[in-house]
Amino acid sequence: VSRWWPSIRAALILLACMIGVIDGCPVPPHDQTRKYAPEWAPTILEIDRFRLGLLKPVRPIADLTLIRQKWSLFSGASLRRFQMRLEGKPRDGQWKTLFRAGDDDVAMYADMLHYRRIRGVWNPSGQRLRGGYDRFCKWMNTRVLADHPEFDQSRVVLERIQIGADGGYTPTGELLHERLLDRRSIR
Amino acid sequence: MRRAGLTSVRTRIARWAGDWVALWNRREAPTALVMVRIGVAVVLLADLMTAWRLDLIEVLWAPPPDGFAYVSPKNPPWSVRWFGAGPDLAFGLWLAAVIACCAMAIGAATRVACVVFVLVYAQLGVLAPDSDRGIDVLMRIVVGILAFSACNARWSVDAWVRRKIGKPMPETVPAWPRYLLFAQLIWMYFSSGQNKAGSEWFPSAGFTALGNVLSDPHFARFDPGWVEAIHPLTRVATVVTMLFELGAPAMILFTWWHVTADRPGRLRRWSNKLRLRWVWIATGIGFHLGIALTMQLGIFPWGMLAVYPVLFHPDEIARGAAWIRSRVRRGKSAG
Repeated sequence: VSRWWPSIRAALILLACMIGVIDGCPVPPHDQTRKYAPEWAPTILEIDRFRLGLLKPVRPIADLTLIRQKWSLFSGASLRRFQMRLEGKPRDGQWKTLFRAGDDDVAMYADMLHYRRIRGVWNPSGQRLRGGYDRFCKWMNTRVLADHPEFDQSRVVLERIQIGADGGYTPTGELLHERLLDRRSIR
Repeated sequence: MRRAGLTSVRTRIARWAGDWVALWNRREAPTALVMVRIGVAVVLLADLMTAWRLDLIEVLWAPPPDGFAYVSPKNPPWSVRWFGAGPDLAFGLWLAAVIACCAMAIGAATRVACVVFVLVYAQLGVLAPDSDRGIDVLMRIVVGILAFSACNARWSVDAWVRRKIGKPMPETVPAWPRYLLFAQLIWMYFSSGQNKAGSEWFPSAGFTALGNVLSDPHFARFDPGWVEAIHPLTRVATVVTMLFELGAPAMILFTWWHVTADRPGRLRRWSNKLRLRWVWIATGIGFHLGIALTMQLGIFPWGMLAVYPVLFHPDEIARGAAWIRSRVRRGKSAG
């Protein structure tokens, strides 16, 4: 075995590299292919099916270790973004902002909310909400109502902002993806 | 004639195969791998301790009502099947990851620690899929490769124990894990460049991507007012980022030309003369330090930089360390 080991190892490394390249192949998402290149969609889907078939034998390893080779760091950096707000409301009162992303004047829970693992949940991917957004909002609102007996309601909301052509941003006042919790509903 | 052609092709393939086997069979000092082991372990430990300091262990990895972790009812992960989801499992997995990181950092039972870390960290990722970022995937890959390496051959409890029992670690270790990590780093940048879908990364939208990201209140470390003042520079930085990422495979050539500097070739000569390998490395370091300075991305820049020692041959690291030592000594004697 020791005589053949260098050759076996080199072959295994080549196989691992090939699997990595196949896994990381930049196949566009199916919905985008159908939308932007409908004439190419069947071919691309067929190629992707073939690619996934090749990867099937190693899928258990990828599932166990949660690794993949398609990397996407800030793939989109649109001018239409959001600014997350966390607010509480006393009975018959106005919404009071406890946290607004990027605003040092309202920064309650800022350490926690800006921790990368927590931000990963509330920060949308492009224009799409993350899968855990609802669960996060429910937990966060419950926490706010527990910490602030003066509030009857708590909400997480994303305000639409427009990033300027030369940097900076302007809030638009459009509130999206509001998730509200009323104290009565937890009693 | 045809047979001669076939023989020639066969000879060429055999030669390539031989070169490929020889490449992955090389040995070198373990310095770079040791640095990656310690650097990666320290970065991961810092991140896990941040989760503890902010009291987020249950929040992230226990399902409601204790936290907001996700447990698939149809296909729960092995940790949930074995131990049941909840705060105890969250803390147990976190603690196992912390212990594995400590063991990796000091090089105690390193291979076991690396394997345990990859498995446990993957479970944390399954329970909190939105919290598992690209850097976490990279860290699992890096630690997974380290598990097969002799990254414990220096500055480790393992090496100390081996010395004590009279079976010291060898001076040189297989170089292939460093080469593989090198290739991983290159692929990560290249793949990232390929998957940049937004027009802001391209001329059609005026290369405004980095300006936009630096203005985004979800990521920006400072008030975005300053971005307007330097906006043209952010456009240049966007171009450089795209060149850096899409041009990453060229780093393999730059390194090859650097290693074989005594061979002929105009491109090799120019690459070495312009120090393109060093330019690429310096761009990468600048890129990550810039991110660390201006954006709140957690361990991403530090995790990436922790893998950078694989870009250097151990002899270069030794020369660099000797140069720093001589400078320090000179500074002390002058003082």
